[in-house]
Amino acid sequence: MLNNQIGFKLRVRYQKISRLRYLSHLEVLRAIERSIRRAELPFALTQGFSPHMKIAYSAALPLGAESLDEYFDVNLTDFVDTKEALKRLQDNSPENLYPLDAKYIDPKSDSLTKALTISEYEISLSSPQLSPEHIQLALDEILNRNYIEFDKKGKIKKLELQTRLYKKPQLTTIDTGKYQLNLITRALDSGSLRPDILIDALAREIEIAAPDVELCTRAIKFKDLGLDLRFDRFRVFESVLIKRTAQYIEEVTGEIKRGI
Amino acid sequence: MSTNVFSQVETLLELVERPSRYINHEWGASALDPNADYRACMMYPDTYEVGQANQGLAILYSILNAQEGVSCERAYTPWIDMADCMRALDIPLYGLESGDALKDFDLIGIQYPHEMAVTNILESLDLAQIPLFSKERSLDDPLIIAGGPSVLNPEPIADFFDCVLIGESEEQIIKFVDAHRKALAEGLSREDMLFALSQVPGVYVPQFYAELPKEEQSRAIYAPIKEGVPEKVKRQIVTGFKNTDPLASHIVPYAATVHDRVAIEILRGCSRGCRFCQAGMAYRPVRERTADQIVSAVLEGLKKTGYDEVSLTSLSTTDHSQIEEILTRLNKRLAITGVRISLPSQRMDSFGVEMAALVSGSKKGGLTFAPEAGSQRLRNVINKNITEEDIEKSIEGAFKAGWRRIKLYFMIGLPSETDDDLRAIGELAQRAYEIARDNCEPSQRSAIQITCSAAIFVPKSHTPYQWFGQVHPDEIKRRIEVLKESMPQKGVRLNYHASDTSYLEAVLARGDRSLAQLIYEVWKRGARFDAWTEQAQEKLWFETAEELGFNLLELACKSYGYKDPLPWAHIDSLVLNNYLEMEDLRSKMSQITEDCTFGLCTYCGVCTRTNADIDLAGDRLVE
Ligand code: SF4
Repeated sequence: MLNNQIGFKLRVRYQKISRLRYLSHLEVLRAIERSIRRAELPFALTQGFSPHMKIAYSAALPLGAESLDEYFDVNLTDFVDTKEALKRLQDNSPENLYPLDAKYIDPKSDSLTKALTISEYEISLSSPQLSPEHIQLALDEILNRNYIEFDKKGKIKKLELQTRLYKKPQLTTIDTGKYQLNLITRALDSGSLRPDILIDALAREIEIAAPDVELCTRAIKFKDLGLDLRFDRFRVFESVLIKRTAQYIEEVTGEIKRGI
Repeated sequence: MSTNVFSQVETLLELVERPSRYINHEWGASALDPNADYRACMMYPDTYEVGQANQGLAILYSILNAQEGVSCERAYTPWIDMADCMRALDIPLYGLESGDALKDFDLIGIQYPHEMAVTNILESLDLAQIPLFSKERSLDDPLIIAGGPSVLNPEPIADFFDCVLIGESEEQIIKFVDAHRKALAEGLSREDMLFALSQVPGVYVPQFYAELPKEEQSRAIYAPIKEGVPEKVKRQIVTGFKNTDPLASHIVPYAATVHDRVAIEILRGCSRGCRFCQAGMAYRPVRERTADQIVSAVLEGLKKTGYDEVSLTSLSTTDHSQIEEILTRLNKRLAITGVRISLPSQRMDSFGVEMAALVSGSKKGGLTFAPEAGSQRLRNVINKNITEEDIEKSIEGAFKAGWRRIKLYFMIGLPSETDDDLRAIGELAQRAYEIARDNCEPSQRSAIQITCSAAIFVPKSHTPYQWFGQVHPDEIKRRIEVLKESMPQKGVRLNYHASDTSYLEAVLARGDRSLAQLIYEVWKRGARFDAWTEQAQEKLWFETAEELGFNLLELACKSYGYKDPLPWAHIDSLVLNNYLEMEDLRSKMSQITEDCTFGLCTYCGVCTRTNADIDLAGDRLVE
């Protein structure tokens, strides 16, 4: 059977932007598999009762996050020229979930989630009522404490920070009330630091440190109307846009290189 | 000018569940004609996941977008979290494609898929900021029309709609939109425009009909109050079903919808003649597509969408005269692609099981059968033409072929049902278990799962049981106890839904125009998504009804005589009333009626009264 052969492994880099940032991880997986089927690439199937496409993805993004650097590895039974494969994929993909690059990799190489442990994020925050100091102080407080606590389905989880931060997060003021947080995280087997978890923690910290700072307009409106704001971050930030700008493989030497 | 609200909606997307419901931009969604001067929207009164999968609306969406100068979008009822936010922030419901407010459109077509959707129809109109009652709307508002399976009794929702399209709308909608555009261009008054629309075949304009004085109600309750509108509105039938596009939709949703696969309607109609079934009366005559057409539509659909599953849909897929050929050819073409073929229901005989086995491959999930009644007597009464032997053979066949899980559907509260009929369900379950045991390896016996599912029968308009009052809940409770006791000690599980929803359904299915007041009031008090078990508020319905002076149980359980005027008598399903009467009489004598696609015409009237005819792709053979 074809399926037993090692075949070829094509690594594809893609972006998830604009409206399609609202897709859940599962929705992205489904959409990509359908693009591959439409592109009629010779994908391999798993064996067994319900055969499915042999494909693997890089780690899930937080809901609502954009990314310029996502990956999937798909096993092919036949060789298709890289350029041709990429073109066929592009022709069959929506522009907001779009393949940017493709390359064959050693079929025995590490899986994406195992390989790509370093993620770089650019997080845009807006909050007219907060000063840069408010945010910086709260951030320092969290970093000094070196852990964050968060609620995961009713259970309080504690996450140590230092080993999960590849670099110290940098806060920059872009404009009045507009900030950017640059973050590089390291995924560990014992749990990863998701940027949305950090931002929620940051928001809670700001509320404690500066109790007299007003809620943002949307939060006030929602509170008046008795609606649920769902995430802590929206109490102090008018908008939060998380963008993953790159993912890296970390070598034993400590050096990092891109997925393709 | 239209107001675009998508940027406002976007500020809510991170705050609601499943934001992909609200973003459009799916693969295959129509690019709107930028020069269109007529804007329509097809709306399904439930969530995106439920509505996007609806084939009827998908067909009309494609047809309208293919018309010169017309653009058609989609809309669904926002889930309660989104609805609350939109209402609070004053964001009107919008067309998914453009993000423009629906209130600026020319036409909103709303599907009435089942009775429990009534509150969601109001919820959606209200979110769209469109007046709910037809009489409150003016020429500045879009025209609000209904269609779909449940409009065969349009009266409970009649006050909310300007027009109701009865029957299959593929050809009708084009004529309707043409007439509407002409009326708009000519600058007709709203009344004149509605009159012009009432002249399109199959279009019911409720405000031109009113309740007759009691002494004049000989056959019908409602009659025209305007000269020139038809006395009876006739159900429309597509003349060239075979020539319509079998691939209704190639939109590939991001959100997982309820039928997330390519769907090809391989045949329309069913004349098996089950006496409880409205669809079996209301989609006659049976028309099949050819095997060639179906196979190429499946392949094209898979290629265009990238789906890994295809469903061959219809009311009775395994009745297609070429089904074996179709499945064999598809199996050959789809080998090694990992594509699954699914059949929506299983016919309960050995052929049905053979066909199911043909598409199941090595994966044998569960198999679902609907014997509907436990005893042969009662099956004859309801004209479910399957024998004891068919049932045993299909269960045997299923377990021999490797299935270990089967589900059997029954109805309780059917006309003439006795305790013996209920106990027969238990006996049938016991036999099913024994057959299952005898037909699989001893080591496999622990894997056997037999589930019996019992639903309360709801009498529907335009069926032989339209005169039959529903069985009172107290009596149903007693019958459920009888059923429970009759169930085998081991090996079989019983599910039943004793909820009050079936009484609401019965009231709405056979109700009259006065119900609009109740629907409106219940919705105002917070009822919506009534079809969702966790959202349903039966208590609110019953309390509100009592306050307004409706006795819901009495309405549900009311029986009519053949001579009584019925609230839906002015809607002509094309099946003769005499035929329904005769079928009811035959039912009372436990006499079965043959399926006219296997045997002779039984003169239901559909073919004789129209130029439609049974259209099969080959011969249907009785085994
Ligand atoms: S008129 Fe005769 S052939 Fe036509 S659907 Fe009715 S019973 Fe069948």
